Amino acid sequence: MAVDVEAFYRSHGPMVLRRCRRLLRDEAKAVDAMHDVFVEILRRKDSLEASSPAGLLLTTATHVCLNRLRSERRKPEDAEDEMMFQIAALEGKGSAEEQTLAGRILARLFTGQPESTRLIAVLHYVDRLTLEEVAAEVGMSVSGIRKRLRTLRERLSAVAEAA
Amino acid sequence: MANQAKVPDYLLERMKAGELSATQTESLRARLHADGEEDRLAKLTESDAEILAALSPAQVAHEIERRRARHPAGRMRPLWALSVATACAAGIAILVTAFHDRRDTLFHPGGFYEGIKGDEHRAALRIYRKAGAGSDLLKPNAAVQKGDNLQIRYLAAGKRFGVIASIDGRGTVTLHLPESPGQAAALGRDGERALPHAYELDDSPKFERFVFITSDAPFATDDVTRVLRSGTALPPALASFEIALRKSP
Repeated sequence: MAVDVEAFYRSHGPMVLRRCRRLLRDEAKAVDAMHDVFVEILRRKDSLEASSPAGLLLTTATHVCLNRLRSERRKPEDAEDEMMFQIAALEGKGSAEEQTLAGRILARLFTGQPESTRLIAVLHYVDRLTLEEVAAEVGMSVSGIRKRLRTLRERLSAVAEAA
Repeated sequence: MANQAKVPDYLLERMKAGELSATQTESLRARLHADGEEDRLAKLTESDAEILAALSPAQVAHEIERRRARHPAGRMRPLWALSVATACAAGIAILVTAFHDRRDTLFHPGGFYEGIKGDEHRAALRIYRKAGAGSDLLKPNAAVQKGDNLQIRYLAAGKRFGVIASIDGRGTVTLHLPESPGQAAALGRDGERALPHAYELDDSPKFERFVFITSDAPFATDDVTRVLRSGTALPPALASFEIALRKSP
């Protein structure tokens, strides 16, 4: 599938940049991350289903930003920022989920496999989507989302205590 | 309805993109109405225009393609490795450039810092801010403010004709070289050339984006100002170098 990169950016770039700005809180880093979001998407353009490119871009932007935050050393600006850092710090390099993230993070978006807990956490705790809205976004049941978040809350507590 | 939180930006973006169901869209519109926030969609559209003016499609597409070429599909590194590598590269670039002669630094045409690798074969802009008796070379996305005096310099890299212009956060286009509409200026072809006058920033918000358009053949300044105002693509015969600066309050 041929992609006109300029047109793709013109139609969706501002949305991606706003997403990166919100999650990274730094203009230069957000601009840098935005480019990587498009690079990641375009690498998989052959398997890209164009039914919801905005959702795909937002999801990819979230993952890219989480990975950036993992290596950040700045002090969180507020509670929401702190939550982002905690979520980003989850799923260490050796965990099964991170291995998936590292190797196939975006492939899952194209194959309909379950979304990562980190994305679910960002949508609920940072973006303030309701459980029902998160479930609709990631294609899971509300009970499934609730279960993931319950487990996550325990891990977030552990992260907070260890910090 | 009254107890619901405000519509998340995430859903608003999806709604604006037309990717939500009719039921979801109707529900969100009702929530926006109830919250008195019906203008949020219009504000997103305004934001779109501001971002596209500050980071032009041609500029961003160029940078995306550059990154894709550097790491082609099939040889993709894990994302966490990408983060670490990027952080390391940035750290090294900062360390090296902190001790390196300013003359050897160049910005990538996409407006991104390229480190110490110069490219004498590519036309480029360098923007300095007057600071006391001297001046500071500004990096892309550097913070600037009203009253800053900017000295614009260019490297023609052998190109014969050029136009330097800028567009600010209000969409106002300013010609710097030549200073009046007409034909592109004949460029000084050797070394770094300073424009005759410094440029003082006004109170326009958000950004000031400078572009340097060059060609081996004459062209009109209108070709540049029209593209800046509309955000459309440059004619293929023209090459561009861009650098955007952030306006701080």
